[in-house]
Amino acid sequence: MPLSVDERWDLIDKISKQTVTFGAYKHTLKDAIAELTVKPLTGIPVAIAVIYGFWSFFGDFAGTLFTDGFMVKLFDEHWLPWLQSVFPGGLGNPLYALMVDAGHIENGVLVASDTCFESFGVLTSGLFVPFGVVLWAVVAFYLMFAVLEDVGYLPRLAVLVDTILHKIGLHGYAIVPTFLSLGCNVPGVTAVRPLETRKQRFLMITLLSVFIPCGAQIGIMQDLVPELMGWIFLTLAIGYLGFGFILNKIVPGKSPEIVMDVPPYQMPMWRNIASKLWIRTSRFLLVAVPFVLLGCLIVGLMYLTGAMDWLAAVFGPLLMGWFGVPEETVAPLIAGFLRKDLAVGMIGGLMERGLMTTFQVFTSVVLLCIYFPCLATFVMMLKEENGKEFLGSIVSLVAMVFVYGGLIHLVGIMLGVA
Amino acid sequence: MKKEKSKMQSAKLPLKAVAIVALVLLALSSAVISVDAHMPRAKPLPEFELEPISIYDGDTLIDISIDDIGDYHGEICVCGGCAFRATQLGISKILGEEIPARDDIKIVSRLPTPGSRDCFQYITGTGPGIETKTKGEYKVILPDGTAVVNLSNKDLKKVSNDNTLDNFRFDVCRKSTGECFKVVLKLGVFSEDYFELRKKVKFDIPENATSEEKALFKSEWEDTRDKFLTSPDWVLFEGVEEPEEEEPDVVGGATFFSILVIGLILLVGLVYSRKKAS
Amino acid sequence: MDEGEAKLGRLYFAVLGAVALAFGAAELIASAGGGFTWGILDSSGAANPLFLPWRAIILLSAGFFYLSSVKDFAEVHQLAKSVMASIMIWIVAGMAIWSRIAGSIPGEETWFNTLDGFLASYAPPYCPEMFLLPFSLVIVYYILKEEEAEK
Repeated sequence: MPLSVDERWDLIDKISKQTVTFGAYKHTLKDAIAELTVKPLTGIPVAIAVIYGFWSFFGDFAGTLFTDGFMVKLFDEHWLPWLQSVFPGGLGNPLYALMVDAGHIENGVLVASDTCFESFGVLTSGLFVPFGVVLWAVVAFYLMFAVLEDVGYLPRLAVLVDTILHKIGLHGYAIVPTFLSLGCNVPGVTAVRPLETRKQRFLMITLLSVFIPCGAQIGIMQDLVPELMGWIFLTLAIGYLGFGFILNKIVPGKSPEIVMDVPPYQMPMWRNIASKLWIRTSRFLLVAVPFVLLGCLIVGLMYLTGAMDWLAAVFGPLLMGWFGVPEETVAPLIAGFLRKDLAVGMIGGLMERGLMTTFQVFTSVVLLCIYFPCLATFVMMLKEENGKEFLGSIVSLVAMVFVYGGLIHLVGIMLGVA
Repeated sequence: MKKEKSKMQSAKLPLKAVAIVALVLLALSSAVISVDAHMPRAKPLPEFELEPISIYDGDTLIDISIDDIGDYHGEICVCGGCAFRATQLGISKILGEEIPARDDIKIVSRLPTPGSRDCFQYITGTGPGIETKTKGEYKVILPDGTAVVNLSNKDLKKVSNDNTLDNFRFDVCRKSTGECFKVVLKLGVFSEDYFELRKKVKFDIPENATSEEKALFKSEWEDTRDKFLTSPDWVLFEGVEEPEEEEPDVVGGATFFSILVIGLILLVGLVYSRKKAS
Repeated sequence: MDEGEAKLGRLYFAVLGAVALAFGAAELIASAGGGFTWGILDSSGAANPLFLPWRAIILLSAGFFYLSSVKDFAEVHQLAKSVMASIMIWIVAGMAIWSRIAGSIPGEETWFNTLDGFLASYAPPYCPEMFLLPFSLVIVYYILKEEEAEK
């Protein structure tokens, strides 16, 4: 016989009296630790330590162990010399220059390159950049990111940075696309979807595509200019917050609050981490490698046809006068439209040949970070924004590049280093 | 930094104004772009760390860096770099860690070039435009014993056209005690054809240099300059012993590594036992 | 945990906190001049010069956490501060050890390092955080005690 409503409630009371105990909730050690990592006074020093661990692991894994330890030897001491000896044509031959080694002029003579950074060939730089440098950087980044995600630390980081990000019209949640963009800008732009208003999405996409360098770029920077990394990131962070503040003031619209779930801390599940790592890394390689190869090919063709020299002559005065970088930076800037890691690698080649001062390297790398998103991000932006927003992003980008780039040059002149 | 001076022709008023504006712009641009009088468009300096030369000028302690020499001369060149390193070595050999007084330093150089002259004059306080309370001594005596009295650029150019490695010898002396250290540049610092190329490129002796020879000399000049900025003393000068390579501390490393391995085993054991218990 | 253990913990972490604070302050001041070396203690040699003051700030914070946890040490929120301080030291020391491991495996001219070269990579000097690491592990005892009490 079905129970009446009152009988049902009586049964519930009887069962709960036998099974449920009531009392004051006593904080466990885990709860207390969770609280500490969220309150600013204790949470910020912890965040500083966690981020230190993140970057330290990244630098040693990607740079010291794999790239400098094995990949440079493999590519520069075996792959490059072997290709230089077996590929038909030889130095000076157009196909050889395109595929293996463009060489460089020393004392009026064309000489072969010593490293895969300098060679700019599709089969040399084109393979060294993604497999020799970027792959390890991306693996290290996504590994640490997955660990932080699984442990439950990322939402707490979001709570900590919420107040600061409010000043630029965003919320703590923005740390998630920001962090993702440090791996690759494409998932970072995608992660903007949960933001409620168009203003927030526009702000986030514009700032990400300009001021957040991707893991590939960071990997190359770590390899070439580890001593400048801190300054580069500081400059980008200042730009991110400064221009974010300005954009927040001038872009119409609202930035409503976001509710985020902050899960309890837990031990990371290594199966989860392995699976996330595999998916993100393999997807990244599938997208990145073709673009790097294409980038090498296009840049090589432009050098061969003289188009690069023409562009250097046209844009050289602007680059030298306004940004304080040599006209040779034109080639990396063009390559940077396809792949920023390739572009930074090209700057490395210029640096190794002594064609740029330290400040010029710094300015060029920052310029590369901010001047235009890579093609993949560009496509993503087209997908996520409407026509007006996309145009707004591009206009903001151009303005930011000129203002910020010029400002960096001015500061350099005032400090006497430019 | 020496600013470029341009010749001004007399002109009518509007042309005069244009010329003045052009002159101002030229002066401003030369403040930004470093003008290399010796070697146009020389490649930028490499990364280097050179300790400054510390001396007492009266009671005042002065640190003279290679950049100070570069600013005084107009750039850091091969001879300036060599002179700086030679003085540094000489002082360290005679005085060790002690800091010399400026007026106690005497330098006899066999190198009649503006770069080394400016460096030695800056250090001894004997050059024009240097504010100093005390002065040391600086002489140029060629390898054949001829004393070069007139040290103007024009006069130095006359005597320096057949410079060789022999000219790169310097006596750094302590006047109060008479101690001297003879600094001699090692064979191999300059490339074999450096001085021949220099004669051709700078003095057209025996004939004008080709553009390839000019490019080659420029590259060798840059490499030699960089050597003086980055190489250790034992590579550059005679009489300096190569420091012994430190033996790696294998025992210390093995001890630490063992502690690390034991710690890791204990940690894994602890985690495993807790998992088993739960 | 009993009163004796709590008292011992209070004393121990007060001393450890003071030492961490002193090391952190020394590192921060020395980072302006590129770090310091004193016997087998070495606070220099980071690939990125910004890592030196960064590490120093973490050590200073850990020191403050330890010292602030001393009052009413047995209370869970105070114990949590000691745990966090220890975790911060583990992160920095752990990364210093990881850096040595990463540097010890590849050889200079050859693919892999020789045995001598491998072992020599772990030789002193060490950064201050590595010295504090074994002492910071004592907190594990108190964590296990607390978990027992929670059961």
